[in-house]
Amino acid sequence: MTDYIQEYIADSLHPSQIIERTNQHFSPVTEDGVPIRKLFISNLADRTSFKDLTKLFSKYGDVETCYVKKNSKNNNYAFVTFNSVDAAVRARYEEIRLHNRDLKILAADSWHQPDSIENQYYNVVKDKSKFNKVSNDTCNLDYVQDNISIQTLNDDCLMQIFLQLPIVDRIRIERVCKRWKALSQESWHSVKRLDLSYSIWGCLSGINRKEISICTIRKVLLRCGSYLNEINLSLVPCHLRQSTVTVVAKLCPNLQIIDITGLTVSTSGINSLITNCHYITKFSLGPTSYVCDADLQKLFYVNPKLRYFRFSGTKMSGRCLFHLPLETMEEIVLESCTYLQEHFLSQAIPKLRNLRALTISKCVYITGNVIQAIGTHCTNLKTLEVSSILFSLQSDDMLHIAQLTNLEVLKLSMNTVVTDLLLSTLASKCLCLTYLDIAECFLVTNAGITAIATLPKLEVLIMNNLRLVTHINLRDTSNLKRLECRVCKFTDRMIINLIESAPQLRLLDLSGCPYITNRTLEKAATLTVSRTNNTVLKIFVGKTSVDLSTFNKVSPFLQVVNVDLSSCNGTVTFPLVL
Amino acid sequence: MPNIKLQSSDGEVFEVDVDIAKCSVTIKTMLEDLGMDEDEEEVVPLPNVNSAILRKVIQWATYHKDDPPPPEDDENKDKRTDDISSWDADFLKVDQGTLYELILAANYLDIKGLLEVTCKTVANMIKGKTPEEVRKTFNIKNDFSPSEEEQVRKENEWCEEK
Repeated sequence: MTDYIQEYIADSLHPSQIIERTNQHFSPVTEDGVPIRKLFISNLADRTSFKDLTKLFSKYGDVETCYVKKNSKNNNYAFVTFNSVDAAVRARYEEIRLHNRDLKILAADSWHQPDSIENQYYNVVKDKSKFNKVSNDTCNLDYVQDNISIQTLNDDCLMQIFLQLPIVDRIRIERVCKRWKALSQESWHSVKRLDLSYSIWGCLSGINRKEISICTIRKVLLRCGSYLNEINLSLVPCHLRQSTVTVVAKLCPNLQIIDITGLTVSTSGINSLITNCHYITKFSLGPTSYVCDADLQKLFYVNPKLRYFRFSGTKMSGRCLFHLPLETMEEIVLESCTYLQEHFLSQAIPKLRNLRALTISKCVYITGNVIQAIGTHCTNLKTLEVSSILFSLQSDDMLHIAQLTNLEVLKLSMNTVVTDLLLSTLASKCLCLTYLDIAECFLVTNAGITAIATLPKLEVLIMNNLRLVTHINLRDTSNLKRLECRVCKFTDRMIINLIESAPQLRLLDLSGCPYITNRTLEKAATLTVSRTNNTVLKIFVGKTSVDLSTFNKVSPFLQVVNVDLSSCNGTVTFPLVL
Repeated sequence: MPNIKLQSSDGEVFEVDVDIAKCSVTIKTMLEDLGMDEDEEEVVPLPNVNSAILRKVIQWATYHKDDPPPPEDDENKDKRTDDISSWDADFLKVDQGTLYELILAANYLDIKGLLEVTCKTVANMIKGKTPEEVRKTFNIKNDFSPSEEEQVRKENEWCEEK
């Protein structure tokens, strides 16, 4: 019960509003400067009518309008508009109780405020309805001078230019002239993807980059939302509210690829996705404010084309997994799903026959049943990641993975149950493996690495922080492209042998290996000079015994980087090789 | 290498390597549809491009003939206007009129790379400017009434310089 209440509070109050309440300060304007006269009232009793509310709120000032929306699920809400800002501020300071309910009072979104520019604008537009229409022949031809002007470019070319502009500039130039306004707005039709990166948005308002708010996002989405195929809100300013998802869902009904891992999603967010977005193929969901299985189930039903789903910190029990389009799902990622119940997962897995990639990472309650189900049923898997699972697995459980003979990529980093036995079983069964990550699997010893070395197609081997491994002797490394062995006890001689026998090697990360000296680099320079495949070898040597001031050999195919990646917790990914 | 002949709007004929000419999708389709590469005497008329501009286009295409083909889905690519190569930047140090004619030619001939780099160059001239500065730079008449302009300004206030 306490859980439920906490969630309810978290759902209904954004952190910034909580702060607002404790500081007892309510701004008279919205975050984009619109005066607040309209309030959003929720948690109404079923019997509360607009008359009750009008009477109640008249205590604080003249009520202009009051509108009550009755819902089936006993969550009625209302909008109350005062004719002065002061009255609205006064009402927000009060803790008001009506018909046995504590009313929840918030400022309505800025675009619902009666004084927002949009509401004024639409009232004007009603009078002269064709304000926006500019035909091509009226485009300042009287102004063309002797030499050719930018206005002589046809619409197509001018829009191409506008599309090269960052968002801020593309909107600002609407003020230049009527033709530019019409074309700038039309150019949004070709925008298919949106994120909040600086390169797409450009510089906001003067020197201080004003952070992107829900109001600005909405204004941009009003222009391009219905044309967008993809939106990425994985990196967002922390002040963005939960209602962002609601706005996105309403304005972007044609989205196919959605990543909202940067936002906390509330029930109204998921529900508006259910109502509006039915073409989703790839979805990445971040934290939710409540356990959302029931709502996700509905979302899956209206999105039969779904192929990829990522849960990242999502509160869900796993019950919703049964309602995914199981036969056609290609990839599922489960990250930090602490509410996940493993029996739901292990029952859903047998139905995911066509799954190509599966990631289970940082989920605490994963047991052998899950691994067994994967090994037995997901025979088409090409990529599997089971990482950062602590304590709940036994080492024998992991052996089920070796049944997946089609595996090409296997990531098992930070598992205390990866043993030499597992590695030698993998080496004899999973002959397609090209990528293996066993970083920080502390039980692995020399024997395990020797077994791995026989994998015929291995291209990437990640073995950072393996304390018990002292030898590396890969029998056939002609395919090896990338080797990471941070903080390992290898000697110059072993690494030199490796470089000698691996002509494809592009990345070698030796950060934090104490026994590596200039000998490795000098030999690497000599060996790479004679490379004929145009492949540059990049070696990371931070925090080793290398002294770069005395290293002066040059090879066009050797790049030495004096950076120590060993303290990066293995989270650095290289934008390189595979 | 076989050559083909391109004729500009003012009648000048340019002889160009076929592979270079084919960076223009328009010319490429013309050759394929009409089978024109069989007959080397044929001259391809380009009525929308004058000789000065065609010479520049050929110069650009010759320099870029070994570029890798542009990726099909450039939606995922970051939009950057500061990645113009120094050769292109030098090549585009021309007056505004020539720049627009190059854009029109690149659009007509369907040369993606040239269109992109010329449009980026103009976009860089617009970037960061106030509407008034843009009008000055490009000699554009403001055809909004004061109240209309105020309307647009208010609507988009968040992206105005303050």
